[in-house]
Amino acid sequence: MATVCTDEFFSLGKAEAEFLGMPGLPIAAIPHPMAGQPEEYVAGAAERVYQELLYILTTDSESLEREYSEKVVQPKKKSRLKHKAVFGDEFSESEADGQIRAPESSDAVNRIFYHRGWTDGLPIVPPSEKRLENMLQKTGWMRDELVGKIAPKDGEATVEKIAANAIMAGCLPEHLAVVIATVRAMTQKALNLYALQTTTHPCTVLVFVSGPLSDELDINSGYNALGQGFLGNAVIGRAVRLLLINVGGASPGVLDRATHGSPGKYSFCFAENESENPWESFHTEKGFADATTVSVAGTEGPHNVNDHGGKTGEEILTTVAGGLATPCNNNAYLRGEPMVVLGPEHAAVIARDGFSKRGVKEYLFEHARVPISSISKGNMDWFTKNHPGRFAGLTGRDSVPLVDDPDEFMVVVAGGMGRHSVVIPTFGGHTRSVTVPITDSRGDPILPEVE
Amino acid sequence: MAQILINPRGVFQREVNPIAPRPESLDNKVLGLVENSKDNADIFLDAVRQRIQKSWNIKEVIQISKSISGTPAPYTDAFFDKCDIVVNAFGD
Repeated sequence: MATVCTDEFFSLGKAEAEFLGMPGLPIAAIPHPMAGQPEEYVAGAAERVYQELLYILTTDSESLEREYSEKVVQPKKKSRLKHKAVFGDEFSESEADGQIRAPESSDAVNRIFYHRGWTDGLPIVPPSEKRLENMLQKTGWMRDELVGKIAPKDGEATVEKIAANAIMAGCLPEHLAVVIATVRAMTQKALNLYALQTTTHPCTVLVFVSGPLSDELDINSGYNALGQGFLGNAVIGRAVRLLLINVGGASPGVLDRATHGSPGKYSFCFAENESENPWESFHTEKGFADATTVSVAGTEGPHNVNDHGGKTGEEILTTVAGGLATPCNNNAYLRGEPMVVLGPEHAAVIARDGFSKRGVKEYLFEHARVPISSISKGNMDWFTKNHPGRFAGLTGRDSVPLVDDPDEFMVVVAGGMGRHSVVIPTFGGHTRSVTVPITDSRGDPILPEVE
Repeated sequence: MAQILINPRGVFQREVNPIAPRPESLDNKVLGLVENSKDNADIFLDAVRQRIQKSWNIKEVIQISKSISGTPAPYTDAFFDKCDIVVNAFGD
């Protein structure tokens, strides 16, 4: 096989080849970008790389492996892939070791961890053996238990590794079960974590908690629920991101190819506001009436739905539908499970006017449709080529839904008072949300403490 | 004074897989083309196909495509059984 990619993506191809156990996989590089180029330019690139392709297809495989295991391609457009060399590496312990001898100073530890690309850019809590033992002793988890393998490198997420990254994020022992449940959820095939981690799309792993434990764990569901200020939101989401970096192996510009990324890649965790929810809770809807659940989904960041003037549920849902149906999000052509976070005031009006949660979904299915007239010709050609069943034959007067079935909308209630809701597009139909209960080390759902 | 820290990096278990042996000539071989649905991947691979067919007597061309780039390639045993050589377009 001869693999061809543009020079900008050579490092991704090389990293994937190494992950597949083939560091010498021959990869031919052509100039980036190919997308958007005229046909003659693309044909010219094929002509210029032909000799290398022929070489790769006909040369002795052992010679090829030796040669290509050393090959490095620097793209013409320089981008900063390595962490800024502000800090030197102050010690030389092997990265392969499970434990590291490090200076006592947390400043020094932070310099080293940042330099090695083991952080999200913010200071971390050093994951000392002492802190780990304290966390495991208080929660009863066994450090060698394997919870899952995190893509793209399929790094083994043992309880020890999960706890280490949770400590770095600032988690308390009480948060460990939530992070473990999140790992259990996000390593399920349905989420397609490999794609979320390596795409150019800005998606992150959204962590949504539904159930009575969220108050005990200080996971905010009220004012500023999607923002800063509460420990649970900050540290749980952050622990997940550190695991995706350190155990999944996705670093910006190498395996993590997000063009822009988003602030949600620092932390994106919030809880359901059950007290203001006029319908059944999300955890009940998912079949876990007696548990607190964690749901993960591959999503963009949130987009506000400002409706101060709508007097009826239908009017508010019209605005929500308009916020969802844009030609620039992936659900427009890949369908999926876009999330709607209704603010309590909007939810109250919608419920008052007789909408059930299912009724909300059905309304959005009918009205959240992207007009074909809003899609560029180039995108329409691309959508039609790859998804003819959805786009072939459509004209400017037509529109397309964002989901295949109304039930695919995820509808939750969160936030404080104010005439706002939020829509959160997802990465598309090739990633599916996963919901699991939060359990203890014995596998039993954790229940809130009775006062 | 030193402290012991837990290495937060995952353990990545790897099997070493050699790359496939190559033929000495492309004559009478079945050529597989794999495109990932990104813009111009099909045009690029078609130009590669034409160039190869200009110099070599290719027995057959089999093309497969991912309709969604963020999914694994739709390889099948039948595809690998039939193809002698494969060119795949990767990345963006």
